[in-house]
Amino acid sequence: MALLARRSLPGLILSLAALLLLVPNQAVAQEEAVSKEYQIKAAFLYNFAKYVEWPARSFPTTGAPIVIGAYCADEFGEVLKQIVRNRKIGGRGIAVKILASPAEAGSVHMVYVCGGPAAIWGAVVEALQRDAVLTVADLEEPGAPGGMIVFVLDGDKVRFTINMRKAGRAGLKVSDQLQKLAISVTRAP
Amino acid sequence: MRRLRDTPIKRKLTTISMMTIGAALLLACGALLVFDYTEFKEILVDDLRTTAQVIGDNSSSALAFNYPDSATLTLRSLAAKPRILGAAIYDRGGKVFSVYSAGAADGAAFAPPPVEPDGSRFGANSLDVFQSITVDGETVGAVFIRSSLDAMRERMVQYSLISVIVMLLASAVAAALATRLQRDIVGPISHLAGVAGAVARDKDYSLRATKRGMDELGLLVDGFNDMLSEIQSRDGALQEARANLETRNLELERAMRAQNMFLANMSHELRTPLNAIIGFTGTLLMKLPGAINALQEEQLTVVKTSARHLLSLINDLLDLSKIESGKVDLAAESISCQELTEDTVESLRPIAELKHLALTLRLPEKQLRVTADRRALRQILLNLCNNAIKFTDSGSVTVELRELIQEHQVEFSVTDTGIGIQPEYRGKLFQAFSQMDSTDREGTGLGLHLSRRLAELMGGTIDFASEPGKGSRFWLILPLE
Repeated sequence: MALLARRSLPGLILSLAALLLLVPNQAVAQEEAVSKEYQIKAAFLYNFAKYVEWPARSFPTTGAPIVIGAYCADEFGEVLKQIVRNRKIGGRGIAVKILASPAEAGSVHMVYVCGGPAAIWGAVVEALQRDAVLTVADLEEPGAPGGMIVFVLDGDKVRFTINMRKAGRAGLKVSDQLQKLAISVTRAP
Repeated sequence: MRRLRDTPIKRKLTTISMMTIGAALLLACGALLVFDYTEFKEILVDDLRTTAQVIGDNSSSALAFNYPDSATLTLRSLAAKPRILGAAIYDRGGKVFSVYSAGAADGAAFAPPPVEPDGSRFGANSLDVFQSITVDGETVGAVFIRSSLDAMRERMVQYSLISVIVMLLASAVAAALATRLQRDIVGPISHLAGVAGAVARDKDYSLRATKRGMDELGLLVDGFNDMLSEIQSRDGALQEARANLETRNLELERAMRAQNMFLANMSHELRTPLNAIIGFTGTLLMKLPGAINALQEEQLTVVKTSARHLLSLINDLLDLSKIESGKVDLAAESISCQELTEDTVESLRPIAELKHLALTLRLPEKQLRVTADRRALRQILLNLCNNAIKFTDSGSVTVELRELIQEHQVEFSVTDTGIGIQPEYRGKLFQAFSQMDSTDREGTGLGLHLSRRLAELMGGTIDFASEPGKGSRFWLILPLE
């Protein structure tokens, strides 16, 4: 801004040039950062599935896959798909379902809602047709229903909190190994 | 060990039992020690593996979520195990993910080694374990733990100490037991040895060993006692026999003395009247009391000859009894052989001339001397010459003295041309009372026997050679001076 205020032509040209140079750079960096965050979060979702135990009734057959529903940008869905490809947890495959609308949540085992206002949460949760669904959110607003696991950014590191009360109510078992890694765990009173 | 055979049985038994027990204990303790060492190592490895497994399980989420801090927290729980020197967690790619070092506070940093496949390895004083971390069958990383072996070493030292104490205690108990049990073996043997020693020392065969049991030692005691009984009875019999023999011997000696005394007395008693008979017969024959007629003279001559014969018989008997009883005392004087031979032969010349026999004497020029009893030597020569004259009716009697230079001896020989001696008499000639053909010859039958005994007493020999009807040659050989 200081550069523009001086209104000197060469300065302006230089500033423009700088902008021209800078803008794509910034965009690339931003893109990279988002991609990295997606990578980490996608990997976390996969790892959450490892340390959470669903009741048997959640699966129609013994070999039925664990379905992760993502209400997110398509890019994230692709990243997640990439990560869970050919992976198995407890003999089950992992399926990714990219949700175009909260209503599509349907029959998933885990649902992740990227960012999004609290209103979406309500819709998603309402759309869930079964009880034992692990909900993962990006942020928790006070008073909002929020997720059982909520990502928290600690500097450039991705951490998470666990609400054991909600998970317990849903009939999910969250491993100690996972609880250990959370920055905070809300337990049943 | 070298001198074990010379040590007393008690010591021997103690040594044997102690060595046996010691060897057995040493072997047992050694085997236990080795077994325990091996097992303890296994336990140590198992224990460390389990720990590694637990650490791995507890770190899997940290690896999954890439939270090294959480893994470090998990590793720090190892501080509860002071044996563990250090530990590390590696990620999927083998890169060190988290490190724990027990000595970190001391500044001794622990450098984790490059990741290796699962397994354990014993170092100089440490045990290393690698254990992979798997989740759902997928290897997500590895754990490394290094444990100190101080505990094992301490345990081995303790074990050795306990072994030594156990061995000492066991040896003491064994020694005490062995000493007690040995009494049953050593006691009877010592007793037996003592009795045997006493028997040997005191020659008291009435002693007996006491038997304490029916074992081999009991049998030994029985055998020993039986032997003693046998010896005792034999000893008794022997003593009795000896006493009998001694009594008999004394009786015999007494009888002998009495016999000799009797013989001496009798000879004296016999000689006294004979001397009177010979003396007075001589007086009568010399016609000193008065004239006698021819018949009387002839009869008196017979009396005188008979009396002479009786006297010589008595003299010979006396000599013989002296020799037999060992009472003859021979002198050892230096005698000239020529002189003695000449004297003897000359004294017999009248008798030889009476029978018209040629009595020849041959003497060497060299003087020959012997150490002998003069009377005995003369008696032998007289006997030989008398015999020659007696048994020769015509011809000659030659007496010769000869030196046997090589043997350093002297030979007196008497050769006659008499009747000779039949071969069957050869063996009997020198026996007492064995005169041959005594019907018409004067003689006691004791002469040659006496001569031989005397010659033997002086270290000489007498022998003869003869041809019946042609003559005989008798010789006496004596050692020269």
